[in-house]
Amino acid sequence: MIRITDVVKDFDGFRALNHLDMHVPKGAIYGLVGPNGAGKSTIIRHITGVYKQDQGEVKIDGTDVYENPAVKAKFAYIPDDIFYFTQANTIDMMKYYKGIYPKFDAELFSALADCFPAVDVRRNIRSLSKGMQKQVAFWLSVCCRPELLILDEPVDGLDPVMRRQIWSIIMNDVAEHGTTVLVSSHNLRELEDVCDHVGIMNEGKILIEKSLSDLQGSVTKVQAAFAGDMPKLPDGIQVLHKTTTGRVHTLILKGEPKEAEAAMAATNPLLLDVLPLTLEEIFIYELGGVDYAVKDFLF
Amino acid sequence: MQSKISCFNKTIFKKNLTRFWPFAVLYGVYLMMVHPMVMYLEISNNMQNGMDTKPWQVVGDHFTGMTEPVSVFLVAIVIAAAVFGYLYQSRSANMIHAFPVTRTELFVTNYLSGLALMAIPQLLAALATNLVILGKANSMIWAVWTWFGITFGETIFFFGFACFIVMFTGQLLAAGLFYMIWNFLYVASVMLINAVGELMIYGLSGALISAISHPLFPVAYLLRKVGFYMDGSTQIYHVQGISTLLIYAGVGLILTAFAWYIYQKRRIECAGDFLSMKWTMPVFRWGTAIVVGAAGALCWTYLTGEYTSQNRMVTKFVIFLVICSAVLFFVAEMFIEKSFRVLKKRIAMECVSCVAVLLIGVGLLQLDVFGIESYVPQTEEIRQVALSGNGNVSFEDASDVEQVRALHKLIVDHRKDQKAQMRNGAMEQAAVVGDVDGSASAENAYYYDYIGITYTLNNGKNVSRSYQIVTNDTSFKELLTAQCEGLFNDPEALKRSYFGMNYKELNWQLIGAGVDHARVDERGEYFYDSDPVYGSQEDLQKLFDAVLADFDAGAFSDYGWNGASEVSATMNLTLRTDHKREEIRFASDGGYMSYFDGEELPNGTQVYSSLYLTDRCTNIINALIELGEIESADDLRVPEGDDVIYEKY
Repeated sequence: MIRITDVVKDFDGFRALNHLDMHVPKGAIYGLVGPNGAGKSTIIRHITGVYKQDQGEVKIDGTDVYENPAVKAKFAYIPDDIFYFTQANTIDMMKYYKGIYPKFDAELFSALADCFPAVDVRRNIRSLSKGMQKQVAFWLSVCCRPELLILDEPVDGLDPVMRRQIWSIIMNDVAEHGTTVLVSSHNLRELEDVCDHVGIMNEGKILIEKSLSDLQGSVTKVQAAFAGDMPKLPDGIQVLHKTTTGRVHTLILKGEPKEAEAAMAATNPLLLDVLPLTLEEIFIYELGGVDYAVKDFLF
Repeated sequence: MQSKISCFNKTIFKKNLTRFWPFAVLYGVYLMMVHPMVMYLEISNNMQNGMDTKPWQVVGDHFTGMTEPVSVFLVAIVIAAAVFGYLYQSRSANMIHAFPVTRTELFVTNYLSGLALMAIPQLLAALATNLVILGKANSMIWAVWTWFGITFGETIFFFGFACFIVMFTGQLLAAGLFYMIWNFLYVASVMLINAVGELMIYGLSGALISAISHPLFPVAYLLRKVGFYMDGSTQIYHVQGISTLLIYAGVGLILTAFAWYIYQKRRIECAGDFLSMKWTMPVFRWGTAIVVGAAGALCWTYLTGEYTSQNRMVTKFVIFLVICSAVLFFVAEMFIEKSFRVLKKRIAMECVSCVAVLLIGVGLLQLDVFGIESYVPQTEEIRQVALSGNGNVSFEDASDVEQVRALHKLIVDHRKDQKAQMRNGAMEQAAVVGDVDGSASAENAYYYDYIGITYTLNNGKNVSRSYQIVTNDTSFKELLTAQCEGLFNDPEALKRSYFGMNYKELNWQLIGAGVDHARVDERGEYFYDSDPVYGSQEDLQKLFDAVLADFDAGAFSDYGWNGASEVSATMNLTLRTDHKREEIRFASDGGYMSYFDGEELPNGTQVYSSLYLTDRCTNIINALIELGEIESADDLRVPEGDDVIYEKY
């Protein structure tokens, strides 16, 4: 759906995007994570056609996005800092979106009113709370019937109930219409529940980009206890991290769980357990010492 | 896949109108007040008071005095900043540009909605004025719609200009600032160049008037050149400057096209920056340092330059110029960077280069590399020349012109000595003026006079010089006096200055006269009284003949005349000719009619002039006695009891 190739963007001598490559498959829910200043918002502004890259290509469905309203009509974008016209209420904005987006579904807008009971549609949106404003943005975006939803820190500022409701609406949309979702966040735990693809950014680059299942299959956590000292591990096993508590050794191994288990079993341990890793742990151990800032934001 | 090409979006257009209608309403209220309402009151008052002025004249006069360029100029930037205001905040800029619309569509729609916000109030005001005229005057309807056409043309220019400015700025403050700067840049630059020139180049004098009426000062130029006027001879109202208006409207459209182009290239990430285009940043830094720096240095020089010689002032100016331009270079960078931390090596080097360029420019001026100081036009280039100093005289004959050129060359050749005397004398003079106990001597102080030379060249251009002449140097003074006497005392040249270069063809008739002279009231205080001269046309013509006779007798030829006069009065003349105003050839420097523009009459032109009367004006004094205006010359003397005898200025 989205393919970004070798994109470079400089701001007054500062390189915000550094030969960035990224691919969001159609129908995926792609989580874009990274520390502050990694370039998440910058690449999203390129994907939405707001910024023009200095170098490289930004394509949606194989077509350049910049200055292409036909492509832009395919996605809805919810920025972190949402803009509404002064004095406009939800109805005014709905009319505006209806005039701008060719596939805007006014009936859906009415139907979804029950999902947003707290939003007073006749009240000036700017006088609503940040959470309410986000709800209005989701409401309007979903009604655009987008093929692609681009969300920049989407549930920031929302209460837990509303977060769940928003994600529920998004998941329903994905399930019903196969909508592709690109979501940027620094909340890995939340993304773990909803994303099937993840890209991690730092210093204007995508460091890792994989499906969640690939990621989960690439690192294994093993606990083992031996009669004496831990024996030498077989060749081909890469230990990413190791801790020892008494006679119990906890190892983070590179590779699939089954392969790791088989390899460890060959060392005749007294006890051997293969444990699941959270997304957060995978990133930490995958990245290792690549970048301190990344570790910082993960913890 | 590319969308079909669209340049207009109905939704955005509608949204702009519904968002920004208050601006249109305010503008509409203003227009309603100054046009239909004022016209209604003017016509009603005229009818109620039984005045002679016809309703159609009221309508014509109303539109003759219109000042629309000023309001259009101000409203245009407000509306442009409103409809394109989303570009000034990253939040709105990011959101709007993520919508499925092209920049062309945004630009065209916003431009048209802005134009509509200005044109709709203008149209409504025109309609309302039309209704008032239909009800009250039923005449000159064409004037209303012509006014609307002119105003709309001006709107196209100023709104296009405002859009252009908005596109290369990144914030509201910058847009307003640059809009004002660009409108006044030409006149400010001319003033500055003149001021610097006057300070650095011996003899250079200003020409502000021509700058104010220059096309690059659009508000003033449109005010002067485009609008209604009444033909005095036919009493019919006409419209002037339509071609000028069309040129401005065309320029407005070109600026709009440039604005569109800049929008295509604009970096959305520059929202909130002072400037949106990178190439404008060094221009802004250098422009601020040079123009504002030079203006600041000039002010500083003059504020601290009292009693200082020209040479010392130039030195001070150069020092202040270095300080002001360097400081302002960094101030400009602070605006661009939105930070006080601008002391970077690259900027410092650029600042040094800028100051160096300024110093080189000042050095070139000082060394007269461009030959401005030593310039004397060639005889064949000159159509007319006016000389001012102790009197105003004008010449056209080649031999006379050659004499003026010789005088000019004499002054130019002695400029180094003159400047040296000013430098030395001014220091002494400063000491004397600053002396409180009276111990200092003014022996070395310099005394000076002025000589002004204004050439009108065959290509229509004017070359003006005004020289401060140090008269302490007796040898030079004698040389100069010898050159000047013949020129300043030429009665014909004086008459040309008073009554026009072609005064003989104009057959002036004196239709009114008055004498201003000093009186003493009952408290013993002086006041100037003005007595009109009564008499038939024949009497007045006799008085005018006496005036011409006194000119011929040399009564007004006073170069080098230092005699005292007991008679001290001013005679005001109202003269009329059957010729049209454009047929009068005024002196290059305006002569003595410079303060009074000719008034167009139905069958001719009326002008005013005034003469300073002295004891030597015997023919005039006798004519006034004959007319019974005065009993004797004593009536024109400063009253008894006063010790002061008026010295000739």
